[in-house]
Amino acid sequence: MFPRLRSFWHTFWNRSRFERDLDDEMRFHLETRTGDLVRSGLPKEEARRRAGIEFGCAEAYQDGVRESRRVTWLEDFAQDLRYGLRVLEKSPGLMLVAVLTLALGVGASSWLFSMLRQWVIEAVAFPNPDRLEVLWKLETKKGWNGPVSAPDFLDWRARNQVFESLSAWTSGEFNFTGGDVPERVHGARVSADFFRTLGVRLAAGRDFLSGEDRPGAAHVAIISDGLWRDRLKSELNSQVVKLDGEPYMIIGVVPEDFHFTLMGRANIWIPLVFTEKQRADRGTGWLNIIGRRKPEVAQAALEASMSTIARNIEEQYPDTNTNSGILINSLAKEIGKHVGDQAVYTAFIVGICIALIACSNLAGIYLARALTRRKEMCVRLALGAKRSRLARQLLSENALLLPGAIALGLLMANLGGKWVTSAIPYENRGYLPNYGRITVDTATVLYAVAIAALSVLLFSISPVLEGYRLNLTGALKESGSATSVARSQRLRKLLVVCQIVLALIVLVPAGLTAKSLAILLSADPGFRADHVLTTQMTLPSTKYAKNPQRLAFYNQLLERLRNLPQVESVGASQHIPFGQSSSWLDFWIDGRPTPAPGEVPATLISAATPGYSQAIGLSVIRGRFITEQDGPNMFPVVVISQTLAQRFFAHEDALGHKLRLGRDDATWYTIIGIVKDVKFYDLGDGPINQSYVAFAQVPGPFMSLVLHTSTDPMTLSSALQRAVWALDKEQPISSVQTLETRINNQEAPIRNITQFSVYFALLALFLAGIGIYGVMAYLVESRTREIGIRIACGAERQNILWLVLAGSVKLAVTGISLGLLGAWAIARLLMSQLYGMTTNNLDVYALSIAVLCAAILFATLVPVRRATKVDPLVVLRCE
Amino acid sequence: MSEQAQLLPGTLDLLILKAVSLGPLHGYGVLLRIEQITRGALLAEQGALYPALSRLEHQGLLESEWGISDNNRRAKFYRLTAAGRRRFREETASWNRLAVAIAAALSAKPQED
Repeated sequence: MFPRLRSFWHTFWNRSRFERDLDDEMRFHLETRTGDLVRSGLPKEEARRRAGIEFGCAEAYQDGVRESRRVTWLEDFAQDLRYGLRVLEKSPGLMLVAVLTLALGVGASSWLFSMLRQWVIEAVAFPNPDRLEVLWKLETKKGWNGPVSAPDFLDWRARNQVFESLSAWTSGEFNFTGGDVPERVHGARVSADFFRTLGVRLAAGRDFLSGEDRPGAAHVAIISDGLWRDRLKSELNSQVVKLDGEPYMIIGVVPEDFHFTLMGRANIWIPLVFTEKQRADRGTGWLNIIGRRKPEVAQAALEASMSTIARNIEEQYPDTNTNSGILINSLAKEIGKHVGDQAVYTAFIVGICIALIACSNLAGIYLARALTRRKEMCVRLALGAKRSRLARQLLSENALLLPGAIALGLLMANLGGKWVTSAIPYENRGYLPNYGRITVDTATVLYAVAIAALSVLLFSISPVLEGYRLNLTGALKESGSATSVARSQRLRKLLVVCQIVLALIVLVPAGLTAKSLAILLSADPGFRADHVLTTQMTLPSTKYAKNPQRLAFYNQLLERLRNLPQVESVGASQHIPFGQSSSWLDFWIDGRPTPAPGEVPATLISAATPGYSQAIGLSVIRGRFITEQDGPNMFPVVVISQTLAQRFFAHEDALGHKLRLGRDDATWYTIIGIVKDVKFYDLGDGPINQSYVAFAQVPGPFMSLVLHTSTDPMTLSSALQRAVWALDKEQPISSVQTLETRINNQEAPIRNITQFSVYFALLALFLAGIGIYGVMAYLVESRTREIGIRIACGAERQNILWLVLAGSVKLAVTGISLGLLGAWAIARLLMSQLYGMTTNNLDVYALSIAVLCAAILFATLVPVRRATKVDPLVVLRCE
Repeated sequence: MSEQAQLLPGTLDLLILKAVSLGPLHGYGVLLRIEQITRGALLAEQGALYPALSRLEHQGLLESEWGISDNNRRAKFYRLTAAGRRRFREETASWNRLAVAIAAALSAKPQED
């Protein structure tokens, strides 16, 4: 093949030289021959004549040489393309429709492909990512998993022989003072070998040394490339910044593209140093663990070995570790939880469905065209063209659509990707690979080209097959023999059924996600979300070491805020709903038998100020909320949630009972009130034990402020900032957001997925509608003669209407029943991901079918009307 | 001329390969060499040689180069490529098998009981 192509190329590009050489070669032959003949005794003229005769017709042989240099298929292809262009020029409308349809299919599927690739498949951007494992503490009885306590982590690290390294980390926010204004910076405390575990080499400076996470080590920090450029703008040499009031020396900068998605937008990393208390506290889980498996250790061996270690620890410390196991997930799986990779896979399937619908639409269009070109094809066959040659010609004609469709499709994928990213709240993007950006890269381009080429092949198949079936004599004689028309109609009906099936497969999941979102948004959160401004802040322990200092600061701040105009009420709570922070404590009830280890109940706990319930609209069911009278020197109080009350005080009054909260706190808190449950993490939360203690009695450094305003809350954000700085110029606050924004950010993934699936379903419906219209119109047209005869014989218009409708009803019923099967299968996959879904979703199925039927009816209506308007005289005269 | 054997169709390519296998030749040289080794079996017309040469070159069996002939003129010389040499061996072997088979068939006598 190659020498031929090379010689073809050579001939093609050096045509004039090739011709000259050809002339020279033959002239040399003739003249040498003449010379030889002269030497053998012939006169010169005679010799020349003889040589010419012996040689034969030089022009004919030159043609022969040229002929021998051709690469037939290549020249045929060029010819096909030229011919195809002429055909397309004649019907630009058809070409436009075809290119747009193909572009829609290619665009939708390659857009979803780029999402799948960059968010799911390529999500872990570290060396040997398959050996990175995330470890959780597993509550073996209930199946919960959660963060790990420091002593457990240290034991796992010391005892295991299956991990190359095992590192702990915990996300945090730091008050960063190094630039002009104090600010809150996201970061993490990490084991000294954290970056080595991931396999990341720093871009500048050095990594943490192995001893730098021990108590007493010098304070060092590694920062992100962005933070270095934005804030420090200088050499690394002995730069010192203040984090939470303490000086830290910057020793290194991570590479620009470093992104550990589980941390979100982290910008600063400091060594994780355990205090004596943390080293001893086995009951509190607060660490995230990541490990690098040794290359020679298999997954099964890993789990077996770690669960042995967990069992040993359990036997050693039954008090805290009863029913504790270890859950090991791959890093890819953990990232997938953030991305929702199930949803992305579902979306990808939807994209493929749309590409298929587009294909079958095009197949419909081209089938119609193949029929109108039947005569042309027959003439070509009769003149000796091979069938394979005709098939190739049809294919190359359709290939002309490729460049335009691919370009448009990629444009669509690019815009779609940007749109997806912009639809995700900025705060959430940190937890997505590549910060949620979706770009059209080489792989996407290759995918688009492949899917477009495959589509062209797919939709060209039916016309090509049609070409193979052409019956020469029959087709030449009249416009269409009964059998071939029947056969092609069967094919077109099949296409319609396919489109209905695919449309339903897309419609039902879209309906399900929409229903789930509606249920979710209609859930009562238990608090008032509108007109509430929130922010979070941490008082540095260097400046505010003592309880009275912290209490005084927050009391003064709340007083200032209360006096701002347009503020209705003000409160503060350690944790607020949708605040991305929470604390849990084990609790014991006074006078009840001590539960067995591993059976101790836990509650979400938060220290709140008296104004909190009013500011956030938390309603009290019994007793009272925390008030001013619950001061530092009064008896300790606690307010519990409805769920906690129902679970533990079902048969008695909870008020007046006493709770002990946490292993380290011997205080008994008296229950003074019961409040409504709030949705804390997500609108889809199940019932959770919740309780509130008085901030005045346990003042911590970290608080969330809540302002109930009478106007748009965001207008007060700078006043809030100024109020804080008026008290302490170095005190930063973080994430000033309305409560509604926080909820929206939290629910954004499900909202986005719902939007996407609804839009895609509409797109699929639209495409399927066009396809059905095209086919029905064609079917009606091909029956015009029959209808004309029926009308001439006295058939009522109504009978004709039913005749045509019956045809489409049959198709619809077949398509819908097959589609329901597919939709049901996908819905089963999806159900586990969706909130509030029961198995009874007949309404969604019914609605999807209704919408689809409406679309089918609409698409059938025009052709049907045309059928009833057939004028028998005109039709019969045409014959 | 009519008494001279005409070349069988399809044998020209093989003869060209044979001629060129003995050393690089220009087109006219190939003709002379074929006449010499076939003891005068002739092409109907000498020009027919050139499409054949071109075809073999197109297939990568021959390669050509312009050089100077014995009579000091510019001429195009053909040489066997590695692929050409391989093909020549294969064709020779298969031709020999065929020739033996045909000769055996033609010399067969009616069996006498």
